[in-house]
Amino acid sequence: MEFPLDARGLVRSYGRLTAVDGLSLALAAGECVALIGANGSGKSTAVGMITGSLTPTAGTVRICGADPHREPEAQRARASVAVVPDTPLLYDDLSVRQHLELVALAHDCADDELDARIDQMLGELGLAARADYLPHELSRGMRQKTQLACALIRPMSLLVLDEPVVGLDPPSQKLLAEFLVAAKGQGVAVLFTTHQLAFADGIADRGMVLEEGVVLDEGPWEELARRAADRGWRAD
Amino acid sequence: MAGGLTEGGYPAPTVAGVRRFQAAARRRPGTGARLEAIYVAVVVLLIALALVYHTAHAELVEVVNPLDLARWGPSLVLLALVGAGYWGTVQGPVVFSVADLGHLILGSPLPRRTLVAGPLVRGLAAGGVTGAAVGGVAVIGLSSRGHTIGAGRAIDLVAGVALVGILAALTSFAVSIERHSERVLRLLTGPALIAAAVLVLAGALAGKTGRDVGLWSGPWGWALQGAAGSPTAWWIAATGGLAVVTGLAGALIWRRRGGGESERYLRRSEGHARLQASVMDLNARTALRGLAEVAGRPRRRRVAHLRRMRGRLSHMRSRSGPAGALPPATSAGGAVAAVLWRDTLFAMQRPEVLVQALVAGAAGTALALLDAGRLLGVAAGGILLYVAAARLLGPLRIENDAPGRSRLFLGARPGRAYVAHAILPAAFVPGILALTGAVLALSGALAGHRGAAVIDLVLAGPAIVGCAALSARRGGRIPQEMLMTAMSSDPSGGGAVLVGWLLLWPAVAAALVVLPLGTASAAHGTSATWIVVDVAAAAVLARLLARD
Repeated sequence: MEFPLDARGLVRSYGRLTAVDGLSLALAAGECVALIGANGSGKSTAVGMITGSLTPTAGTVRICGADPHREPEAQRARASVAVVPDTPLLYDDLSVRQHLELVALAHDCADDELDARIDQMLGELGLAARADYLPHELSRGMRQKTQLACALIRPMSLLVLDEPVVGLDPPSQKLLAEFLVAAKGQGVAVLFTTHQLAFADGIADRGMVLEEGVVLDEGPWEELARRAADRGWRAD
Repeated sequence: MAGGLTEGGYPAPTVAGVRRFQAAARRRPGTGARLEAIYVAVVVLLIALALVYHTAHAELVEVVNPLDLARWGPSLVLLALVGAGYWGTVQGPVVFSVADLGHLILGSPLPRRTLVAGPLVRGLAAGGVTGAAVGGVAVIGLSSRGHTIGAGRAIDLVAGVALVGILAALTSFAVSIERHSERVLRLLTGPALIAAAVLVLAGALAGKTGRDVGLWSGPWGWALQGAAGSPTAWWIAATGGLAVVTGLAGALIWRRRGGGESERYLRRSEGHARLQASVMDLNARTALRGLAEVAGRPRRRRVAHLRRMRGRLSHMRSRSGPAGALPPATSAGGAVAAVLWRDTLFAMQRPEVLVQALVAGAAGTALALLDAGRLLGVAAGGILLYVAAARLLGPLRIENDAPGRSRLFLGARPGRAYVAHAILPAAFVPGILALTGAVLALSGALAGHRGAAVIDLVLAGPAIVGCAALSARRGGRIPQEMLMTAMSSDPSGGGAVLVGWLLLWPAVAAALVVLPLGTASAAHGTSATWIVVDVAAAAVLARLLARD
């Protein structure tokens, strides 16, 4: 069976520092995993290796069977994974709508219904009134939502979000949670990092706790969240 | 929700389609604005061309002639190729924007080979044009003041240097995408520097044979054969060889253009964004730091040494108190001890900075003492001593970039922290001066009265450090108000004020060397006046440095 994500033995070292040490993770279609950990625990490094932006020191990653670190095979991996980075990466000179059009073009899904899909997406995310704004005219949270819309407008098998709730107000966090649940319902595998356990409730099927780059604990979300709370991780 | 599932295969969008969309979507300036930009560009280009032509015609004849081209040319071209390689470690000819990285390179199934192709062709063209321009300037120099160069040889020089430019761009690109190429570059840098020095020596000492060796030693010499006066068959063969080598390298790298790690592209994109922001802010310091972060090599840490040193500092500060911990940072002495510890840490982590300061300081001392008869030589020595001091003041620059830190971490006024940062350099620079002076004196290179000059130089050391520290305190950034005033009131359009602003402290440092050495040479002894002047200058500069 070909998993949307199959990562094995990922290691990433920076000189003497090992940021991630032996992370293995497989996600089935429609499954959601929350990667939790304190600041500097290696969550973003793990996400970077999985999405292809950081080269692993050791280990392998397969996204729908394709290695995101090896061209031209990586093209297939990039077609399957949508990434929402922790900092929005937007063009200064393209409006919100144009960003979505560009992404649709780049993924060859700019069909006749694209305008309708963009309008619907922007409406749901509360960006309809800002569709023609440039990124510098938007608040940080709105830029984050634009980045999210870019990820959701295109076809995907795996959705990876790095600290998706940072910069989002509570209603937007709730909306994001609904989007993620809907994505799971459509068979998209979802991986996200956070240090807010409450956000993962009701979304994550499984969880994984990273500490100093090592997997400290993993298992079904509810059990993991209980154990994490026992360790004083839960502030809410 | 609008996002759907991927179909079994993966889509095959085209790069051209995406680029066309980007071009159409971008808000272009109106016709008037575009015409204005074209007008400004043409006028600036014409002025620059006229200036370069006249300068090259009038001045280059002194330095560009067939003999010197054969003697120095191959080494300089070799160093330029190495320099281009190092440009690849931080940027290179193909750098995408951060948004391009997120949405296209890492975020879309578009083939990277195709995305890279356009920027790479433009980068190679830029390398070729730059090379041709350098070759053209050399041709002007070779054909001025009654000298001539045949049309064939002139074309050969321009074409040859253009090919070297393309080769440099290819080197830079290979280093930028591949970790392996970067390792090879770093490995070959030492041998390349030695080879460059050997070629110069061979050209200078072994006559025509030595120069011919340089011209045939590799692609760096082949481009210059025609202009250096080699026989026609030689330069045609050399340029042909250069074209073949460039073509082969081009073909090899063109095939591998889609490879390389995404991480390297990402680091360069982020570095480029920082570089652009720094340039817009006219901040050379953050620009250099941004590039250094792209190259980012791990620093060695010597924890055991640092612990011992911290313990010693702590013990010195509070002999009655418990050892092993720094004293409370609220005391002035505690802040100075912490700054000294931090500066020593900096020096230990960057031994190359100490070596650079040592080399610059020793060279400056030797130049000032051995060339004491020539004002220019002594001034150049003073500038080198200033450079040595400036290299040691890295922690002061870091402190200066965020003055709040000294308050937060040290509990000290920023001015006091700046003075503390100058203590180690103020000990190190006079030390280099004294050591070099002693070596020169023992080797018999100094005539009698220059012993006094050594003492004058050593005494000027702390003041030279003060000049470098005050320059470092300015933050590497031209004040906006000064820039506006200069542009509105300076007849040169701001250039004279800016140059004056940049040269102020190096010029004061040079004066601190030139004036006492002139007196020592003339009076054959140390002038008591200059001792007082040096001490007073150091005190005044320290006071200026101590301002918050």
